[in-house]
Formats: sequence, structure tokens, C-alpha cells
Amino acid sequence: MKKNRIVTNSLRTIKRSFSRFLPLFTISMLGVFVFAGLQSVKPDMLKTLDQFLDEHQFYDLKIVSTKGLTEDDIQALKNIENVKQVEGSYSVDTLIQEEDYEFVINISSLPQKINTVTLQEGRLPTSNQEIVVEENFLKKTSYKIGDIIKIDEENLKEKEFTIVGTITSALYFNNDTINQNRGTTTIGMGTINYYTYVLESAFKNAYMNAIFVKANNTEEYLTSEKNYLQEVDSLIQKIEAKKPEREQARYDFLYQEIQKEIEVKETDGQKEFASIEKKLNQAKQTLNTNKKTLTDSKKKIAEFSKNLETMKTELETEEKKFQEVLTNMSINDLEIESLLQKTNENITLLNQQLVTLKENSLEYQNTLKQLKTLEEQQKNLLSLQNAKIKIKEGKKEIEANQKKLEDFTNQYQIGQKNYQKGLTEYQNSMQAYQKSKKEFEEKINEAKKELETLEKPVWYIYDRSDLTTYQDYIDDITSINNLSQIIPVVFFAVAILVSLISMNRMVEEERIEIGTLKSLGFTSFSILHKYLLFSSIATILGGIIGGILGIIILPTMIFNIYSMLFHVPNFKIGLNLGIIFFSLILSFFCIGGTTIFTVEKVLKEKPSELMRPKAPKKGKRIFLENCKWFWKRLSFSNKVTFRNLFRYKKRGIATIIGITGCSAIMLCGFGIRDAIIDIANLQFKETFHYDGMVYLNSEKPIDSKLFENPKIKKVVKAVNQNVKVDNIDAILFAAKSDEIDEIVNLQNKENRKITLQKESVIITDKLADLKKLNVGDTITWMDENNNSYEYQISGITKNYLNHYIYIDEDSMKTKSNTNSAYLKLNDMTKEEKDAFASELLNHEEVLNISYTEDMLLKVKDMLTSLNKVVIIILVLSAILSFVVLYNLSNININERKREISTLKVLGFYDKEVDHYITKENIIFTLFGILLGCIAGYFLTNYVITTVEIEKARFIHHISIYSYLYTALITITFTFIVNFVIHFHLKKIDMIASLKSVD
Amino acid sequence: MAYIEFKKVNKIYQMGEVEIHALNEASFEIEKGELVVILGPSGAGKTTCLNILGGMDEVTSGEVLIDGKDITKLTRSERIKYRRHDIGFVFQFYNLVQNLTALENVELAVQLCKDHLSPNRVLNKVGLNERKNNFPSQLSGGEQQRVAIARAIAKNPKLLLCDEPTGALDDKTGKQILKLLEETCHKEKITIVIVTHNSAIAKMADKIIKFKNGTVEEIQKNSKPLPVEEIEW
Repeated sequence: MKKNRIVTNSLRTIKRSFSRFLPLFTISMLGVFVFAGLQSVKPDMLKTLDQFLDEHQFYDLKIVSTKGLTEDDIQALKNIENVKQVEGSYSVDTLIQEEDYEFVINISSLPQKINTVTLQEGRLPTSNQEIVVEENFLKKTSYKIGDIIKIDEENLKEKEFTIVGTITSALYFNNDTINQNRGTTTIGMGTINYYTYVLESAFKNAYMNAIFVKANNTEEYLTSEKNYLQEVDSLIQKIEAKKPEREQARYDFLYQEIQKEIEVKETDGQKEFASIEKKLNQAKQTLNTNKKTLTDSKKKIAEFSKNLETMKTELETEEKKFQEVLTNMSINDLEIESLLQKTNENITLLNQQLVTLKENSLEYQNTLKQLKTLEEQQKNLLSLQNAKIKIKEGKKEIEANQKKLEDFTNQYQIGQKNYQKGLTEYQNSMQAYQKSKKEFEEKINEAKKELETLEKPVWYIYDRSDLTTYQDYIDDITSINNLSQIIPVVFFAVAILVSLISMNRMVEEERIEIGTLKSLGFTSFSILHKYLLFSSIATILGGIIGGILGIIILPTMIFNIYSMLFHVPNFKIGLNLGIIFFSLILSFFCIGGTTIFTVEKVLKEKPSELMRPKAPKKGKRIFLENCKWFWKRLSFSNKVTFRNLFRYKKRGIATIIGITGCSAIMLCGFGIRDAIIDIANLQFKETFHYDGMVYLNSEKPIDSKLFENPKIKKVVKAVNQNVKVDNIDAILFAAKSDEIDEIVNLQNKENRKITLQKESVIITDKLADLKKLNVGDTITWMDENNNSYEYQISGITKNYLNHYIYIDEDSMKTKSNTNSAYLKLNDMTKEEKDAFASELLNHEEVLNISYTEDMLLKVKDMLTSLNKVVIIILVLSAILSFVVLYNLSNININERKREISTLKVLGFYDKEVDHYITKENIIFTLFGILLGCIAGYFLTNYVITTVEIEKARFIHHISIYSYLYTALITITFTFIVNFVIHFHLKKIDMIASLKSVD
Repeated sequence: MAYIEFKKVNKIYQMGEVEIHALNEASFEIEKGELVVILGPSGAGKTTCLNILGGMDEVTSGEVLIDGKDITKLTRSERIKYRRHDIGFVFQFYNLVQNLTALENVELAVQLCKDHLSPNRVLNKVGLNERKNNFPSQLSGGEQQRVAIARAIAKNPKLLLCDEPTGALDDKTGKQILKLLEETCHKEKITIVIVTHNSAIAKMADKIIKFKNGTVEEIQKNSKPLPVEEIEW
């Protein structure tokens, strides 16, 4: 084989002129690195997410209903064409209270088919008493595997659950480093902190909380691909078609269920009331009997008392008679017995005498007569004695009867009292009965009425893009992708310049060789061929290495930054050969193109001209010398420097443009940082003035004492509504026009205060920009019920996050209940805040409370990650500026070796030689920085406009420090390059370079 | 003791594995105010010798005493200082800074030392009064060499070293340059060493040192140096 000596020459040139090869190689490497790397970020990150989602059998559609979902719904969904899998999910949020902290966990049924979990540690639950939790749960609380969590939740069968393992779910791939945020809830602080899973059988729920659907043929597409969206859209339409039927079915079911429930309650109630009534009647009867008995005994007592009175009167009469007799006999009752005894004795005495006496004797007769009188007296006395005893007995009896009467009366009174008591009791229970019966009837009626107004269940069908985390991920990737379309342009522009200068120098140095080859009869092409080969090898080798490094390093780095926000494991580096190939072609086009351009220029010259050494660049006076006043004041060495600056125009311009490009990118990096770093502060400190926001349930009455709290300084109640201005989501914010100033700082671009006027609205600036609206224009929006509203815009206010439409509460066409309250609070510690939050949340009407400070932290955290992208930009631009400066300085030295040697021979100290050369570098750099700051200003504005997300207004203001840092870093690099150049200068062999002819 | 003493100087260049003896035990002496011509074929070591004298190169061994000072012992910065104050150089290819005018080229050298001559006056002396504001590219070869000499003399050096000063010039111009050097030597009392392979030039010298293969082959004292005008080659 005939050897092509041109190729030999080329290869040998590469080997020998490595110092020339290196910059081309490096610059191509850098350009392709940046281009291929940044271009790969989006596809790689999308692929990684998609793989992660596929691994977890992530849902395509999520269906939730306002009234729960059932097995029938699942069956109905399964029957839809193109549906691969359907799985329902039960879940409940519960507050776990520990001694010194509390948190909310979401407990869901462990999925089997869709949104499957990955086991990290331990095992999955096998019984109803077991639970698996996310890793952070164990990290951030004191629980360990094996511990028991007490959960008092009516929807769960058990009250105690043993932690058996940790899992991750693709449903929660946001990685909130500050707050443990797994979504919102209506309990606790309003945020779900951790997600956990138990077996489905552990739930008692009658209905499912959500149904997840997976479609056929979607797994093979990336979620962001058109095909995927088409598949899912067509499935949504099919489900939408089924939706009314299912909603109606659920409605019917619920209607019947409630109806049945009401019926059962009604019958039960009636039964109960009947029994109560019966009991009451019985009680009444008893009461009546008691009453009769009482009346009877009252009568008897009266009779008894009357008898007693009669007895008393009779006795009194008798006693009177007895006393009369006594008085007549002029004795008192006590003498009766003794008199009687005496009489008896006398009679006995007389009788004895009589026996001794003769009958009919006078004496006898007298004695007999005496005896007869005595006997009469005895008889009287006896009857008196009897009367006395009788009276005594009668008195006794009356006394006993008196006592009896008292007893009877007492008994009667007790009976009376008891009866009264029973009566009141009866009356009370009668009243209560009537009241409760009325209430019950009212309740039943109400329930019946409610049943008639039972709201129809509404199905909401969500796709993946409705998952906030997913959407955030996509938005962030898109921002990065926007960056990747601007930054590489600058890199390639600088690459073209550097290669232009490098190749130019190379061709200049080899003009004699080119002339020789030309005179030998080689065609222009075969001469060009060498240089093209040289630059191609440099470009392609550099490009391949840069490309490979780029697609590995940049996406990995950016992914790692984002992994602080998103927990998506197993980053997949895509082998995006297309991107590398494209960037290689781009790089080759840039560097190869400049090569052809330079060589062609030289090839136009005649060989004879080429073989003669090119006359050294002529010295020239520069225009500045005409300005005598200025020129005279320059020191000699400064004059030399100025002349040199204008002598090597091409290289000077290249250096300036190179530095301009690098510092522009650098400034852009800092500018992006400036644009975002203050957003959080400006929104939550400057624009919003409130410390906390309370979400209220608009359907419940607000306790008038809710906000009577010493910690609250000021309350502004408002209505917040999500509205749509065409396709843009905005928040309608209605409050009293005189109160709104307390919580929102409404001010226009000129920082002048604007006030809310009647029958018009104030909108935020980004919304105005997006919809191209001005003060005086009319804005139209739709509320959630698709009602359209039109208002005139009376002002445009500064705002940074989200879009707001401010309106005076009284000017709203549809009145809405207050659903939020903005609080200004006194300073509180974290514990006080938590206590305050739970205090508010104890009220039924309070749904949630969020502190502005927490929001601030959250937003700041998110923005920090973008900050790291800025660092990557800074590092890359720094490397680029180093390559440019170093390469151009190197060429400068090589080109001027002879001049430098002359200076050395003349006895210039190393430092003086350095100054002579580097002063130019410094001036070029300063110029470059100046131009870079100007170019960077425009580049930054452009980049920020492209990167800016719809929901936020970035700050289009580059801080003075960013300019300073850019300048300082570039100057530092100039000094580093100058320091390296110092050694190159020192190494120059003056003898060798002075001898040669150049 | 002589003004310049070159004592047993060896200079070995290491070229990969090959050692090249550029100077081999070379010794000579030069008196103050002498015009010395170093003669020899290419590669005899004469330029190396000149470079060593000018403090541009170091010796491998040996001593070089100039005005009693051994320049082989100088550090890098002392050597620069030596070049700066004591040496004037004239090259075959003039080595003017292209971006500076004739006057500025002289000024460039002059700004380095305090004890210098007026650049304007020196340029007058070398006959370039009219052209001192021209750039090198606007001057002929002879004129450029005059500027180079002016630049060397203006520093008021102890020693003027000229490496083939006429090598790139035609005879006539070359003679003018040699004349200028001769005048400089005699009027300004500057010691001048001219390196050349042209033996005709040697006739104007006070001393001729012949080099061959790195050694001093012969030292001739010329008691009657010819004026330049009379030299023919």
C-alpha cells in the first residue's frame, strides 16, 4: 500500500503540536459537554421518573368521588375497553398524639396491583394488627420496627398496630426536607406528615376513598409523550361517558340507604315512644288510685275525729254530773273510796250490832234504819266509784283515740306528699316525652328533607399531571431544558473564536510548509486535508469525551440537586447517542468550518509568497496618539501596551469576546440566583403582611369567639376562590376594601399605593403580562362552576408567586361565604404556634391553618435547589474563561517570542516581562468584563424570561454584587492564567528564538 | 589582570542522549576598550561564547571574570541585572520591536538603566536623526541595524556584544555598520566583541580570537588594526 505522506505529516503534526491540539480539544470537549449534558437532562430525568413510576405500577387515572366509591364502580370501570387494571383504595387520616409532639398519618389499604410499594426494611403486614410506614416515620419519630402504634379510628377494626417494616410509595416522591408534607388534611395542623399502609381487611369503611386505573399500552410510553397523553385522554373520555351512570347509581344507593335508615329510625322511635307512653299511663293510673285512697282516709279521719269529739262531750257531761253529785255530797272524788270503806265498815258494824239486837226493838229498828241509810249511801258511793272509774277509762280512751287520730293525720300527710311528688314526676316525664317526641319527629322530617336534597355524587378524574409533585417535577425539568438551549450557544460561539485564532496561528506558523507543499504540486484540498484532519481529530476526540462526560456528569449532578426535592431513586443515564452525534456535528461544523476558512485564506496566496517569511506585523501609530494630551500623560510602557493592544486586533477581539461570553454566562448564573433568591421574601414579607392563614369551612357557622384570642392582633376575613382566566389558574381574593391593606401590600410598578375600588378589580402583574392586560381593560374569569364574570381592571399590583385577582367583597356578583381568615399574630415560639393551631383546629369550622413563616421556608427550600444549577453554570463558565484566556495568552506568547526574547536580552526582569505581556491580558479582560456585564444583562433577562415559570414572577434585577462577583471571578482567572503564563515566559529560550527568522 | 577573563570554560549541551561540547576548555582574555573579533566556522562555539559573555547562557564549568566579577556565579536575577546594566547586544537580525519607532526602541532599552545616554543623541550619532520616528518596517536593513546599535550603546554598557552584525547586510551597508562599531569603540571607549565567520572583518580588530570545535585555536594581537574603509571582502 502506498503510504500517504500527507497523513503521516498530519499525524506527526498532531503529535508535535500538542499544545495547539489541546485548546481545540478542550474547547470542543467543553462545548459538547455543556450541550450534550444539558440536552440530556430532560430526557434522562423523564425516563428515570417514568421507570420509577412503572416499577411501582403507577396509576394513569385516579378517580375520587364526593360520596365514596364502591365495588360496583370498580366492576364498571373494569368493563371499559383499554382498562388494564382497577384497584380501589381505602384510607383515613389520623392524628397520633405523643407526649411532646403530634403528627398526622395517612393510613391506606396496601395496594396489590396499582401504586405498589417497595419494601425497604422488615416485611409487609400479614394481619390486621400490622402496619408498614415510610422510612422518615422511623427517622423522625421515636418509633422503631416492632413498636406498637395506638390508633383510635372508627374506620379501623383494630386499635393497636405493630410496625413491621418500612416502604416507599411512588405516590409520594416529593422530598420535603423541612416539613414532612404528604398532602393536606382536615385534621391536626392540616398537613399529612407520614404515609402508612395496613391490609385492606383492616378497614371497616363501607366505601372506597379512591379508585386507581391503569390503561393498556401506556407503560411503553413516557408520561410526557404525546402518545401517552392521547391514550389517557381517550380513556378519560370513556370513563367520562360512564361517569353519570355511576354517579346516579351511587346516588340511588345512598338515597335508598338513607331512606331505609330513616324508616328504621322512625319505626324504632315510634316503638320506643309507645312503650314510654304505656309506662306513663300506668304511672297515671297508680297516681289516681293513690289519690282515691287518700281521699278515703281523709274521710275516715274526719269521721274518727267527729266520734272522738262526741265521746269527749259525753264524757264531759258525765264528769259534770259526777262532779255535781260530789258537790252535792260535798265530798271530792278522792274521798269516795275512804268514805265507801267507812260506810262498809259501819254496815258491817251495824250488821253485827243487829244480830245482837232484838228484832223489832227500837234499837233494832234504828239500827236497821241506820243500816238502810248506810246501805243507800254505800250504793251511791259504789255508783260514784263506778262513775269515777268510767270517767277515768273514758279519758284514757279519748287520749288513745287522740293519738290514733294524730297518726292517721300524719300518715295521710305523707301519702299526700308522695302523691304530689309522683304527680310532678309524672308531669315532668310527660313533658320530656312530648318534647323528645317532637324533636324526634322534627329530626325525622329534617332527615327526610335532607334526603330529598341529597347532593348527587360527583366523580373527579385525575391524571398524573394533576399530581402536584409530578407537575412540579415536569416544570423544573422544563426550566432546565430552557437553559440548555441558551447557554451552549455562548459556549459554541466562544469555541468558534478560539479555534479561529488557534488555527490561524497554526497556519501562519506553517505557511512555509504550505508553500512548499503547494509548490510541490499538492492540491489545495490535500493541504487543507491536513489541517482539517488536525482540527477534526481534536474536535471529535474532545467532543466524544466531552459528550460522554456531559451526558453522565451533568444530568447526574442536576438530578442529585433535584433529588433534594424529589425522591426518585435509580437515576438512569440515557445513552442519548443522537444528542452526542448532533453536538459533535455542531462542534465539527464550528471548528472545522473555521479551519477551512483560515486555510483557504492562506491557500489563496502564491507559493512564492508563502515561502518567504511573512513580514512581521508592521508597527503603526494608533489613533490615541493623535490625542496628544492623553498620550503625553502615558508612561512609556503604557504607550507600548496601548500600541500592542491595537496591533494584535484579531486576538484582542477574540480575547474580549471570549471573556465577554464567559462573564456573560457567569453573570447570567448570578442573575438567575438574584431572580429567584428573594422571591420568597418579597412575596411573604413585602407583599403579604399576614402571619397566618386560617381555612374555614364556609358551610359551617363561624363561632363569634373564634378569633377572640390574645395572640391575634388583627383578623381579616376573606373569600378565596380558585378561578380560571382562560387557561391560567388564579385566585380570586375578596375582602373588605378597607381591610385588605392590612394583609396585602397593593402597589403598582412605580411603588405607588393602589386601593381597591367598587365594581372593579386589581390583578397581579404577572397575570397582566401573560394576558396582556392593562389598567382600564376588562378581565374575564370563570369560577369552579363555570360561571363567567367580567370586571374592569382598576390597578395592577406587584406580586411574585401565583396569580391573584383582588376584589371588594361587596362588589362580588355572587355572594360567597367567608372561607378564609388572615391573621396578624403576636410573636410566638414554635410550641406556642402548635398549641395555637390545635386550639383553632378544635373549632369545627376551622379546616386548616398555615403559617406564613412555614410557607416562606418551603418556598425558599425549593429555590435553593435552583441555586445549585447556578453553581454548575458558574463552574462551566469559569472553566471556559480559563481555557479561552490560557489559550489566547499562549498564542500571544508564541507569536511574540522574538519580541519577548529581545526584552529579556535587554535585561528586563521577569516581572517586567510579565507586565509587558499580561498588561494586555488584563486590559482585554477588563474590556471583556465590561462588555460581558452588558451582554450578561441582556442574556440574563432573556434566560430568566425563558426559565421563568408561569406561576411566579422572577425578579428582573441583577444585584450589584453579581456584577462584582462576575468581575472578581474573571479577574481572578486572569491572574491565575497570568501566573501560569509567567512560567511560560520564564521558559522562553531567548537564544533560540533570537537566532531564528520568523 | 585583564578586563575580561575567560578561564577554561566548558559548555556541554545535553541533546537527548548525545552530549555536545559547544565549548571545550576555552580560555582567553580581553582588555578594556579593545575591539575583539571572534572568528570561526559555523558550530565552532563562538556564539555560545558570546552568549555566555552576555549573560544569556550558563557555563557547564569554568570561570568568566568580567571586571573582576565571576559572572558564572550569578543567580538568574543577578544575571538579568548584569545584562541590564553592563551589556549591549547587536544581532544579525536586528531584533527591533516592530511596534515601536526607532526612537522608541532606543527608549525601551534606556528606560531600564539610570546611567544612560540620551536616545536622541545616540540616534544622531548613528546618523538616524531624520528617521527616528519611523517604525522598523519603514527602515532599510542597515538603518535597522543602526537602530539596534544605538539601542545597545544608549544603555552605556561596559561591553558591546555583536553577533554577525553584518550577516544580513550587503557589503556597503555592512561596512557602514562596522565603521559605526569602530567609532563607538574608540570614541566611547566601549569594549566590543564581534562574532563573525567573515575573516576579512578580523583585520579591523585589536585582538582576534579564532575558535575551532569549541576550543580557542589561536589568539592574535593586531597592533595595527586597519580602518574599516580599507578592508575589502
